Amino acid sequence: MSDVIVKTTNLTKNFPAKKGIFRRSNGCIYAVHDVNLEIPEGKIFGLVGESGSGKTTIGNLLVRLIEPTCGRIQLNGQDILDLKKSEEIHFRRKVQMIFQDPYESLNPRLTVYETVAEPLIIQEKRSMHGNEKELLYALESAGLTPPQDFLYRYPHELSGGQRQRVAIARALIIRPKFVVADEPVSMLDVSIRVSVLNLMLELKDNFGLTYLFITHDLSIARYMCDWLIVMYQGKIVESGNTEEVIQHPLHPYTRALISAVPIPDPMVKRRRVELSEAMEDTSKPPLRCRFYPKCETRSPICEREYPEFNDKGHAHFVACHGV
Amino acid sequence: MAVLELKSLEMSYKTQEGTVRAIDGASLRVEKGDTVGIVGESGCGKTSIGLSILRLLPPNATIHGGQILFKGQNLLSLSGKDMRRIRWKNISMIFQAAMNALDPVYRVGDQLIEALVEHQNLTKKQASDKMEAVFQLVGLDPGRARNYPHEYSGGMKQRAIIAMSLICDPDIIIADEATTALDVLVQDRILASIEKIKAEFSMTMLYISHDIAVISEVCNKIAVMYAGNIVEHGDTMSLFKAPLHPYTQGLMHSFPKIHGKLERLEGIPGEPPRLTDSSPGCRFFPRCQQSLKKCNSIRPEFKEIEENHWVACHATRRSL
Repeated sequence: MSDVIVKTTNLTKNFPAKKGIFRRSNGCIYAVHDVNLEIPEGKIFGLVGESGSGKTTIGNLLVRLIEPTCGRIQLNGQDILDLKKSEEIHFRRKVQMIFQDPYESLNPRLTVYETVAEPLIIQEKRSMHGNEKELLYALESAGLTPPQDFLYRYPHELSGGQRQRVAIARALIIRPKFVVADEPVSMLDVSIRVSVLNLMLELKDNFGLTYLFITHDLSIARYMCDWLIVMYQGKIVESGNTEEVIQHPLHPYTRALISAVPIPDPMVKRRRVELSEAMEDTSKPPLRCRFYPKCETRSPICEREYPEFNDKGHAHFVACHGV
Repeated sequence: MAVLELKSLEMSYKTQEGTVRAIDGASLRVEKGDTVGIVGESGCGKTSIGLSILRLLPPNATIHGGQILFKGQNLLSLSGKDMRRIRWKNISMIFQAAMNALDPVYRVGDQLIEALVEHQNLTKKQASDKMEAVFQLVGLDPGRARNYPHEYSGGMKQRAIIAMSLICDPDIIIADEATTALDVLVQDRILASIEKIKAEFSMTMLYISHDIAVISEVCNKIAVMYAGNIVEHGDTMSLFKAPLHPYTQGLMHSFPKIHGKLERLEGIPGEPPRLTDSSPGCRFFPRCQQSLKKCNSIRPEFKEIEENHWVACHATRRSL
């Protein structure tokens, strides 16, 4: 197996919960709890789960948009949480992010040139002018052809797909190693999505990138990812090789999730797994299995202790007492 | 007689950038008991079709051609008062932003009762019984009828909206992206309820969505829209087995699959056109890989190519 580029140890993030008319802080939401990840270099690592499962929080933690409550994050073996200010700029160079909404992630007052050149100006202390060559190359790599037509346009003149390509060019111009892509195609039109996904696959090979690919769409995760992690309410419930997890899901939550994906083939009749609507309260620490209230195969032990994360062979891990 | 029939409907919006031809000659028949899916990308005019049928268009929109026939009666020639009688009682709608379609200051149950009292001359008691029956039908606990919308989860609000659309026993329901903003497990439960309701009442529906997978599960007929035109229309089986329009074929190759062989997808090159530009030819021409010379200058006719399979494309040959 290839080298590990990003590693997290007991990564935890609690958000303060505010209640009542005075917004007094009482307790907290356990958004991400005790997450251990090892992201292998050169792979696409998928993070799937429903809204509120903590997948975006993990993405934001890994690029240090937010600070964890506790736990460690390492990049190439170096702890990124206690970097000095002078080292931080090198970290930002290696790690970039592509956001979900290209209508909000680009500054409407900056031209494409200014947007894409900004990382160069900050990272390499360059001046605004004279970066045309690199910019043209970055835009062309991101599939904006001919690139010179796009340099002096503003975001409002671009379509959603083109904006997302600008965001990709901006992320790649300083040659990062690790890219967090948080739902990069969910705001795009169906016919545009595939071309952006294919572009990301190409860029991975051409630039030697590693992606953390966050999505709620299991079909897209299957198309993109080498490895898959399934999250449920702040905890990892299952991880493994993508095909292995999707063809042979072990955790009852993963099984329900996969059975709920509509199939675009009228000949196939899908078998539904019906789950109860009961939900665990995320403002309590996960002492018992988070999936307990919904689970059909639960047993008394599931209520007493949180299941450990165990290898079931072929590097397929699952956190469930019943498996 | 069809429950609903659109005959070369034309509708446009006046905007600062010019006139947007949102629906550019759309024809469609919905027979009793059918669930017809309208599938297409954002901006293709699928929501505008729903709003035109109910005549709920914003002030900058005008319908300037065609007919909308509801049981043979042209809705476009009705007075506002007559239209109000038909709306909700005969044609109801499940809106896209379901989260915002409930009034936050009224109890959910009362909002349903209000619709009943308005349209059906029932007593408070009868209305309340009916409301409870419909609540159960969509899988909501009638005990929650006294709650306010903010006490509901997203999936429950969506169920309440579906209950609302059913409450007056309409002849047809128009569902616009009824499950789009929901998580996949919640979506699945809503789809199960919709299927149950369809089976129990042989409900007629027009189901609008961008997601061809959802459409293929819910609908027995499909209309594919592109840039204001319906480009293909047929029953779900034949449309999936042999899609005829190049856009439909491209759309089928734009969705990754969760089962079966993993293959590289090609999608559709280019971008949808701006609807302010008017070209005499086929709207799909700039992105089409099967185009002929005349496609750029002559708009293809919407023709029945096989039995009950309609296509607007010069490159598709007639096999009838």
